[in-house]
Amino acid sequence: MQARIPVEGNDVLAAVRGFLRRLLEEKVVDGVLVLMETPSGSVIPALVADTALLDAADPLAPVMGLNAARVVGPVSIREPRGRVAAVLRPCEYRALIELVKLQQASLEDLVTVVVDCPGAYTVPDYGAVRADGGVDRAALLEAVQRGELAPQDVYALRDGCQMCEKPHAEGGDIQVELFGADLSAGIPISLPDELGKRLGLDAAEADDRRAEVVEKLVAARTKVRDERFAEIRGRLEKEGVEGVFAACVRCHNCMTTCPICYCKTCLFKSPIFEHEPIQYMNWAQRKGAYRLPADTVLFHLTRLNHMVLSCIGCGVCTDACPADLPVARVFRAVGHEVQAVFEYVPGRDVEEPLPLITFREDEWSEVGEER
Amino acid sequence: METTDFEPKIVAFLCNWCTYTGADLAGTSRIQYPPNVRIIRLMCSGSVDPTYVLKALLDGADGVLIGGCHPGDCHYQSGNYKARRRIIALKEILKQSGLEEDRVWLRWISASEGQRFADTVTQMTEFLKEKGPNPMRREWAV
Amino acid sequence: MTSRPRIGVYICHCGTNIAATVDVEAVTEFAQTLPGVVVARQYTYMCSEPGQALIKEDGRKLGLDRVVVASCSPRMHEPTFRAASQEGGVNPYRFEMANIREQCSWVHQDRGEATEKAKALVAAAVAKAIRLEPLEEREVGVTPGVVVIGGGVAGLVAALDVANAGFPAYIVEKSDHLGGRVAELNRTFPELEPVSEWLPALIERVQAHPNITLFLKAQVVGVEGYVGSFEVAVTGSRGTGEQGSREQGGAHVLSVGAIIVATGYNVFDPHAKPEFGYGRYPQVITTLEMERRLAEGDLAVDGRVPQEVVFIKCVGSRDVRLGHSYCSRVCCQVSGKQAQLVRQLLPESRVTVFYIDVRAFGKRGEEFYDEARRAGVRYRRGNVSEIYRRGDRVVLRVEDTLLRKTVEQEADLVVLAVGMEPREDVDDVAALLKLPRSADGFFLEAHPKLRPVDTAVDGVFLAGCCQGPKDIPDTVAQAKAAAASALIPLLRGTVPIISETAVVDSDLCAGCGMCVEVCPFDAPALDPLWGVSRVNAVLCKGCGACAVTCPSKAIRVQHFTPDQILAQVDALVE
Repeated sequence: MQARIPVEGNDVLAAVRGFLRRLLEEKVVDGVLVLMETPSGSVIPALVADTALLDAADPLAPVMGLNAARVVGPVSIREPRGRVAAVLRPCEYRALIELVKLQQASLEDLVTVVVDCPGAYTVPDYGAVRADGGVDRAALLEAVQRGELAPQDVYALRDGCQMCEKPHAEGGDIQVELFGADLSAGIPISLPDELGKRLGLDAAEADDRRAEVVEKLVAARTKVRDERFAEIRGRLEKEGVEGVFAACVRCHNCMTTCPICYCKTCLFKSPIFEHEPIQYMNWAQRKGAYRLPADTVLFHLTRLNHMVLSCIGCGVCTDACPADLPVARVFRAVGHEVQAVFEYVPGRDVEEPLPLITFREDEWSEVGEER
Repeated sequence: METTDFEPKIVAFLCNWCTYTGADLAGTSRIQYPPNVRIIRLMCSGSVDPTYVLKALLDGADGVLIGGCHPGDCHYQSGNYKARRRIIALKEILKQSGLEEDRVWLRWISASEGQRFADTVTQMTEFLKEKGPNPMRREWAV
Repeated sequence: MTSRPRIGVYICHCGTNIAATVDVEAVTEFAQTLPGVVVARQYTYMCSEPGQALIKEDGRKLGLDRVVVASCSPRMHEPTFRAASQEGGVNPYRFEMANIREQCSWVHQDRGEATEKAKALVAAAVAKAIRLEPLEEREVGVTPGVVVIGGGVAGLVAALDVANAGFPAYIVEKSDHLGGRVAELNRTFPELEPVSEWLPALIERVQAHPNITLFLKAQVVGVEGYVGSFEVAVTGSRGTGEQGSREQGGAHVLSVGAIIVATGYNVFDPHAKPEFGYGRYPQVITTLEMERRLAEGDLAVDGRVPQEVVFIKCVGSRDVRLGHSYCSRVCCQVSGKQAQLVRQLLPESRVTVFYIDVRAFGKRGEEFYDEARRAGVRYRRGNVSEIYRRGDRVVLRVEDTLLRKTVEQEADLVVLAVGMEPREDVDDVAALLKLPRSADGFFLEAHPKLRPVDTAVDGVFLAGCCQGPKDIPDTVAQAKAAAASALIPLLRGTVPIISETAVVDSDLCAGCGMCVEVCPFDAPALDPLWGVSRVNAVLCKGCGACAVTCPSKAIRVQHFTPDQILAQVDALVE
């Protein structure tokens, strides 16, 4: 059903907190997984069981230090577990769907609350914005809806957010629809009828400006995305993948923060890529010189192979890179094409099989038969 | 011209049941082909890990040939169908990453197609001679 | 590496097969420089007794722990050299071969280039050998008993041989009778002997055999397990027989050590060739329908005794447009047989056979063809393009491929020599047993020459036309071969299984289940308690589909591990 979370005195945040509190009070769930502001002012997800602590919940905080799908896995993966409401950005929800396919998270006993996402700052930028007078949430939402990428002057949204063409809530159990809404009149949400009734929400008309705003925003972001794709493709063409990743120090931060990279230990941290000392000398002699750390390009290309079909484009890899490499731009640009080959949209549907573990006999029948 | 002296190095990953046996048949039939190919025997084309292909290319191999059974003939039912998707994905990744995907060839060659194996190696060698060396061969910063 | 490897490398001359093209001396010297190599030798014939003795002696005297032989294809002599290595105290799986004959000396002429290539292949083999782990030979126990799917001649003969060897045999037949397609035949070629003289007796022997249990109107609905211990679920009514089975969920579950697939074929339905008018003209019938008419001795069409009888061969065979490019192998002789019988029955009739080729192979095959011609059967090379009606007769439009002109041929009776095709349920059987099929749609044998009744699935054997078209003697020969092959594990009591199976490092496994998804043999499964993959090594065929799917390489196939293969790659690109 379509409903509205009542807003009092223009305090949207308090209204959302109240809604999450209701989920706990009505025993819909045993805990809420949501961004919380720590006493020191940092923002990080927490699994909240005590309604009183939800006063620190800040589900709309415009900062993204990690993709929260990463932390949904551990709280949901196997029984016994609590029933959890997970408040997620759209990119986090899409990552979660991929992780469910990879059996790293479970939707059983999980209520997903997907919130329209205006975009977020990196952790350092968010700190700077706060120090610089704080974030005006309403103004930020307003500016984003106008298509601005740097809603507060010098502080631009994360690179990933700037080229995010799927910022609106889609899928999940509950959608919180901020875009295009007059929030002072209540926050539009859609949720299952039964749940709406249980929470005492009355049916309300959806905001008809939403579709229009989403369309405009998606168009603006898609334009940025395509410019970035063109730019990075140009670089890949000119410098080669080895050029683009030339400064990589193989810290593996991109892999560590990637919500899709689910391996317990990355192949590249395993003994397979620990070489004998003489091996390095052999390579150096073969090529004249040998870049160290070794296997950086192989690492990135292999990671592309392992996860790019599931890359949902959150961009945390770029944020995590100490060398400021355009990891997400490369992965998104490559992923966009590879996903298209298999008509695969990561995060769309949990029933959609991962392309590389399935096949059809009657596809690409000309491949391999060339004479 | 440099390309005339250039002898490409091709690493071939061949499935034990079809293409490796086809290569053996080329041998027993004494069908001559260029010595540029070096074969690694695997049990199935479905076990050719893209990392192996990437490693070969980044090390400087000028071409990589993946050989398996024709669709429908896989000794393990469906390994070649899975290989087909995997290699298609890999080639798209190479292409999008600015690497030369046409250095990677996937071919179905049965145990009875010794001539086809020899022809494939000949064609591939000619193609790579025309194309020139893999730039990665001299690239130290890879 | 806990201790430094001690590798012995042996380069074979193969007489002059290798040595004429490859500088064996240079390759041997090169091998001596490779890391881990303790000794490198060359010998005229490594596979000979003295050649193998080199490996055995060095193995013991020099304390080798790995052996590399550079010679022919491993498909030729890997077992030989593995055994020699073992006798030399080296684990047989720490053996690697470099194929410098089939894939080098026999296909290249330039001595310099061939020698360089041989060096690279040896270097790659040594690089792999350094990383090889010792593996153990493995065996599993065998449940005595064989399920035979199909109660045609192939199934009957196979079951009888198994039963006579003293083991329980279970025949699962889909229809309500035994004898299969042969039961529909009148006489056989080339003897022209009535089927009734031997088939009923064969069926009786099967029915009366104390070791044979029959399931009629029955179907295999589930197959679990592996060579030595299959569990075959069968629905349908249980016929005669003493042997036990347990009931489970409405099905009989049979525990056996081997399975023989004898599911037969379908007769090509000539409706798929509408130009022949089959089904429209009563004058046009198939060879199978002709069998019945000949048995009844009545060839009349609408009450008229035919004067002109025409046979058309290769109907549904050798037809690329139908996807049947193969020859059905029996139609030449079936039409020759029926043509002779027509001549006997109606000496006044004219009998013409239109053929693409006449394939009269096999014992007494050519003589039988001669007999048909001597009996007055006219053989005419021609492709029939169309049949249409003219009065009480039909007319065939034929391209005479010798005269290169189109002719017309009137006929009172046209017999289409219909070929064989895979059964309509071949997909179901293939899926149940995980059997691969060849391009023609029939089941694929494990090796076209050396393992014609084995399949890719250990313990599952093929008999009869489910593997491809064949006549009765070939079917019986294959059935007896399948029975003999199925009896090997039963008589041994244990079966060896491959050692190069997948293994899981549970510390690395994240439990994503992709290996479970991609394995065609259900070898890996997620452990419900620990959430990690575990491999049932008995089910594993070592194909590596799991390993390539696993991003962390928590699952890997022994003897084909990523470090081994990457080392080969590195050595080859050097």
